[in-house]
Amino acid sequence: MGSVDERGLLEGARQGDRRAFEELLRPLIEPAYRLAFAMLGEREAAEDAVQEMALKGWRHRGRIRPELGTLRPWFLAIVSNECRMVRRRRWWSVLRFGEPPERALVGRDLATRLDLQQALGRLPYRDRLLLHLYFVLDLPTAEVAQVLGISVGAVKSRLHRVTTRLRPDLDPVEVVE
Amino acid sequence: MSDEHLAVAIREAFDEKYVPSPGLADRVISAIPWDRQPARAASVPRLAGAFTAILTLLILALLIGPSVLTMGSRLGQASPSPAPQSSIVNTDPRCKGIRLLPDRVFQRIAVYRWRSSGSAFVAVPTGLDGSMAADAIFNPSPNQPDDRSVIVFFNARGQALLDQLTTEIAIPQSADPISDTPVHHLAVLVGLTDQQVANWADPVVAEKALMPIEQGGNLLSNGVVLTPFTGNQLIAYFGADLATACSLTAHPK
Repeated sequence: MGSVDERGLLEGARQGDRRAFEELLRPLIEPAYRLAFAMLGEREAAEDAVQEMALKGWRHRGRIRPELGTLRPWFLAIVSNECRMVRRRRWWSVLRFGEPPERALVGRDLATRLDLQQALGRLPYRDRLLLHLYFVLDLPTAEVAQVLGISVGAVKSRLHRVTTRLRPDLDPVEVVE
Repeated sequence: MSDEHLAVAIREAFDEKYVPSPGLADRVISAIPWDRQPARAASVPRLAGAFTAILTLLILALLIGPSVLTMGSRLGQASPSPAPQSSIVNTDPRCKGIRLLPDRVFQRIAVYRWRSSGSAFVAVPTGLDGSMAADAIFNPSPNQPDDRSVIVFFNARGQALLDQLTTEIAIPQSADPISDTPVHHLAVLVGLTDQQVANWADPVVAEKALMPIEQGGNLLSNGVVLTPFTGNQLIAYFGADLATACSLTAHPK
């Protein structure tokens, strides 16, 4: 995984080479911002999360592992943790009422009135994070697993479970005259 | 819907509200303090420091432990909710070996709502608290055994109050849940003392209590009310702190 050049950059970044770090970081800023925006829903908050990611990345550059061949999962894990902390401080931490979420998500009321966007918004944070990493950022399951700190098998089974849960909200409603 | 269509639909749903941030990469990179020394990585020589820290903590615990225990007891007695059980237990396998915290049992929760006050919002008590809570359990989700959300069940009085409250503050269905205002939220706190309640008008007291519990505050959750609630259940906790989740769902021995 990772070319010889990239491993050289990773080693350089780990040793404190500013140019190497910048070269590795720059292409990851846009996907990191996209992820943060999806998780937080606010431009300023997403920008702050990405800035924090860059600062922490540089500060903890000693933890870079060149043998992994890429910095992407490490950076995205930092930004997802930032988003999680921001959400805890913000208003939109989710509190659901009535039925437990499992039933509520596929309930008749919600299924008929929520579109996919709302259904995504109601998923637990970790499930939305998983979907975004896999479907939007198009990360391979191995990298998704690194970002989430779980096994590849767990990523696959969680993906299956979450997408299965979403389907009832997506199927077109058959109208009977 | 096929897997491919689902993937496209998910991408589109995420992208629909996306707002690009031109020039972000340059701004982020220019703000990095390049001269800053890296954080020290853990290494063997630091064990000496860790040993010293542990020794210091042990000595401190021996010196001030009794005082702290006494203070904790006083705080418990000063709670506005029923006094905590002297002995609690949680038989859930997830709680094996977890230290339960008496001031975080479900009987000690209190629900607050938000009112606009000038340019700010203040949290005000709703009257709904742990004295009306009958039970609390982990969310029984068969597909998510690691789910640590906690459901609190209220008695009839609590249910009526919850119904009325959520009818008043539920977010309009046409609105976007992300861009709503605090008035549509309920703050669930745990372990408030009489002193905190009595001094709630003091912004410093309220602000500290409204910090997340992981940061030393009393706030369990502060979620948006999407629809009026007609049942007796309230999901009060989504945190990852297992000690809090286990304490909330503990029962008297």
